[in-house]
Amino acid sequence: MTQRIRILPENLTNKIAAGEVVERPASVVKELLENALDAGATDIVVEIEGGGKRLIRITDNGCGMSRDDALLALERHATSKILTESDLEGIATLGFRGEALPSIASVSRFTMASRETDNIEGSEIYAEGGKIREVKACGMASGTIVTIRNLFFNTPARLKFLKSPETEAGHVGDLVTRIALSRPDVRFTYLSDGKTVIKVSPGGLASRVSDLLGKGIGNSVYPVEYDDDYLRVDGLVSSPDCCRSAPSHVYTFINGRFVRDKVVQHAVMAAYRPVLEQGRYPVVILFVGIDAGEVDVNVHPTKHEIRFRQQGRAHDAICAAVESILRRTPWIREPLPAAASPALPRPSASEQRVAEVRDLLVSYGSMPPARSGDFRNRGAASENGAARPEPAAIAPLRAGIDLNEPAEGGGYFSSLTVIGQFQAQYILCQDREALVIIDQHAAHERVAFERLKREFSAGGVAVQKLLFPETLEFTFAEEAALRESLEEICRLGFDLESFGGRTWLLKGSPQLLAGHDHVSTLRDMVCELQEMGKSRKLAEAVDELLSTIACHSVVRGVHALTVPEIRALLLQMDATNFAGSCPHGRPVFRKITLSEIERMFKRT
Amino acid sequence: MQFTVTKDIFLKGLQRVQSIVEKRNTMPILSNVLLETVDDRLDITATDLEVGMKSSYPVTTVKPGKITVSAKKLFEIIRELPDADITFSTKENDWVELRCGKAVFNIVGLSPDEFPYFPSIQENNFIKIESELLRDMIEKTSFAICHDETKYNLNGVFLKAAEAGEKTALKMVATDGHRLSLMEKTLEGSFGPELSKGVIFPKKGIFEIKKFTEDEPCELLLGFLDNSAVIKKNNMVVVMRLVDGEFPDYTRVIPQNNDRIVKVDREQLFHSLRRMAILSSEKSKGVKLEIDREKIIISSSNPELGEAREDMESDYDGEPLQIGFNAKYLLDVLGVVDSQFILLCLRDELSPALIRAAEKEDFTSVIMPMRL
Repeated sequence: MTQRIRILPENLTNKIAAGEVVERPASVVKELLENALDAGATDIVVEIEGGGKRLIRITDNGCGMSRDDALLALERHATSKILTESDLEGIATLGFRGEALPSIASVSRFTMASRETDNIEGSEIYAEGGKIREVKACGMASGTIVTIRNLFFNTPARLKFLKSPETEAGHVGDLVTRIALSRPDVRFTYLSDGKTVIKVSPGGLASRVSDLLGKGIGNSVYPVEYDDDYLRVDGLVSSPDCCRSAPSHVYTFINGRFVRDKVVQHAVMAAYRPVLEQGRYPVVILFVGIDAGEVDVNVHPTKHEIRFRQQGRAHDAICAAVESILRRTPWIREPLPAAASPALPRPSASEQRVAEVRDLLVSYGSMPPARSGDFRNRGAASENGAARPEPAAIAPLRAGIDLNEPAEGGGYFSSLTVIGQFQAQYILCQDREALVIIDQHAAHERVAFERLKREFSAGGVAVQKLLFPETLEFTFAEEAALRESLEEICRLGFDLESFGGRTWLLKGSPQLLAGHDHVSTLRDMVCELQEMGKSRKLAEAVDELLSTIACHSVVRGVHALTVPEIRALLLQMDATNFAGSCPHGRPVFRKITLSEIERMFKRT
Repeated sequence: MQFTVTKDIFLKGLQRVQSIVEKRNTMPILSNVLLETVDDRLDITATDLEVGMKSSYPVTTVKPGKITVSAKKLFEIIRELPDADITFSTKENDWVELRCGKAVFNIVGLSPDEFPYFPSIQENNFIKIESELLRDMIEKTSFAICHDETKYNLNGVFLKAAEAGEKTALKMVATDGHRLSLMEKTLEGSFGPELSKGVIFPKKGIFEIKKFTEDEPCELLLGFLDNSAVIKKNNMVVVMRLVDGEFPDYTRVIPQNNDRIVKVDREQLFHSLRRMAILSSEKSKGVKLEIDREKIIISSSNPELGEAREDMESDYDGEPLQIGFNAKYLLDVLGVVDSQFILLCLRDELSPALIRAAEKEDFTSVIMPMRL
């Protein structure tokens, strides 16, 4: 009798594992960069040639490995990062599976040279297609150099699916950007075909963002800090002007690890919803620190997906963190920095010196402890970043502005000098150096909307009973989610009763939705509850209705306003959350700086 | 085609069809009216494919024929013409020439062949209904028609006849899922198979019928043709496609044992509710009724505006009760009932409330309460 079930040879299992982990050069770089960071490196160089198909080389100054360790590291499931099963429940390192090196080695010509600090010589291992061909001693600086040549040389199918060298190099660049964002305390250099693409020195998060994503973004992001006993959030969020049409600039990190998690992303978007138009995405760099036992990162080999133990709570906390900044609309106070700075008084030379020194001090302060990746360390590093939110050169400028603001509790809008009205539709104001144009309809709409929302939330929910109860069928998963949050759904004004099986009877719905499609709102809610553990669909539906009411109840189109009326409106805007944009996400005001006007008239 | 007509007649005929013609539609021909002369008669036809109307007027025909022109533009032109005879003639390529006194209009028309088919009506098997009776029924039910287009089976009124010996009970029902109103009239004679099964008249069609009933009292003819209902009055015919759907079983939701009966003065309650509704929240219009043996306290409140309350005498001998309603639903009912007192029949704060006139039995309204 022939045996039909066989244990696969190790070489083959490595190749299968490689299929999951090593998809393209960027995934190799990811694995190796994470190893370097787990080894405590503070200076990492990534070099690639031919988009990584010809060569990938990662050089780090981490703790290195002894010869025996290095050899063992090429074995499958060999790792220094976890020891026991209980470690799996509280993973503090980026990697832990012990699969990366053997997987990569099995599909490439692989050289690894490593030296521990207290060894006088390093050891170099050369492997081809996963088979170790040569082991020898070598001289090198302490740390590890991993060189990968001819990636996928023995898996032509995979090789065929790689894109052009430029595209692959772009993917590597994106990846280095993400990892460099997560560790502002580490120096990163990325070279592609000998050209330096990224070179960032250790510093705070804000300067790292400016270096990596550009000055424009660097100047329109604001620090977030949030801490409850469940999780902490810090990082930077952008003003709504600085948005993108795809979520490419939403960088979210859980315990230092980049994730593309839909719960986290949904939470961020939920917070931005009142200020962003549909289909626009903000620039966000968020570090979520959470007890390692509260998340499961071992969901997928690439670790982009995670699972929260308390999904709804995490969602709410992240959303609250981002919202707390957006509600204050910090961008209103700041002048458009790039354009405004030339017109503003320059800080004296001595001030600049002080700022530079402070910069240096901060950089020293945030030099990493040897082993990081643990979120507590991460938090400490970015606390320094948060204390100095803007790039140092701009910080003193802004401090100067704040002194000129009316000190006694006056808000931004009421501090403006009213010039008058344009076309009976726009309010013109002067803000020292800038002309401020306010869309009176949008401004009034936001004020009315926030008032209606307050009214709605203060009034309790009126439930209109239905004459003919509607029967709703749910899927198993939806039904479970519904049962779990039944109380909350009822509190929102839906009167639901189980009708046996997966059928439910809807016997009443929120009065506000009467005449609208309350059934589909409920369905959307349940669907979202099942996926996210939280639903804002009802709030969204209500907001939409309220914003329509608000839109119709306020001054529209051409409407002449007297100065006292304008003053009153500006005063109300100061008392309103999210005053910078109307409920549909359109901007309420625009600034034209003096220098821009001067340029218009060729005065500069 | 060529004919001569007086301004008054032409204007009246065109005005009648304006409400049928859809303002916005995807078929250009539907914004036109079909004008057709046969003998010394002008037939004006308009349709939106759901409701169609054809009416005939006396004219002097020179050459028979037919044409379609924009209903709105033609009406606007005729309205502004002097009081004189109008000569209407078609030319090549569906152009139309209008002459009245010294004014000449050349209007672009569309080929009559593209105009949707309008069924020819034979007058057998028609049911005769008094226009006043029909008006009363429509008035007291149509306010409850549902305007949510997704619930298409509620976008109209349900008409059903139940024969009992010589007499027939004709019932008209409308509901929007929150309230329901029902009129029941007893008539002589038989009503045919369609009505005994029950049919749903579309909202737009019902309002056209209501217009028929608003002139001097007369007899209307009602018949059915395939999936449509036909209503005929003198020289006018309305054909409407019946709503193809199942009307919910309304008998199930009419409460049978609401034994807490409050008798109130209709007018007094109506005005009190209107006052109280001012301070209820804009969207929900919620008002609270606190009923005990001596009085009813009607109150409303709105955190942003303030609160209001008013008491009213009542005739009630049950346990005290509190119940919330959308004031609009109550006002709609009180606005159409024509009796001095109404009976508010309740059970508890979450069960449907039944309202009927104290003197007459023919009207019933059910309103679902609101949890405030």
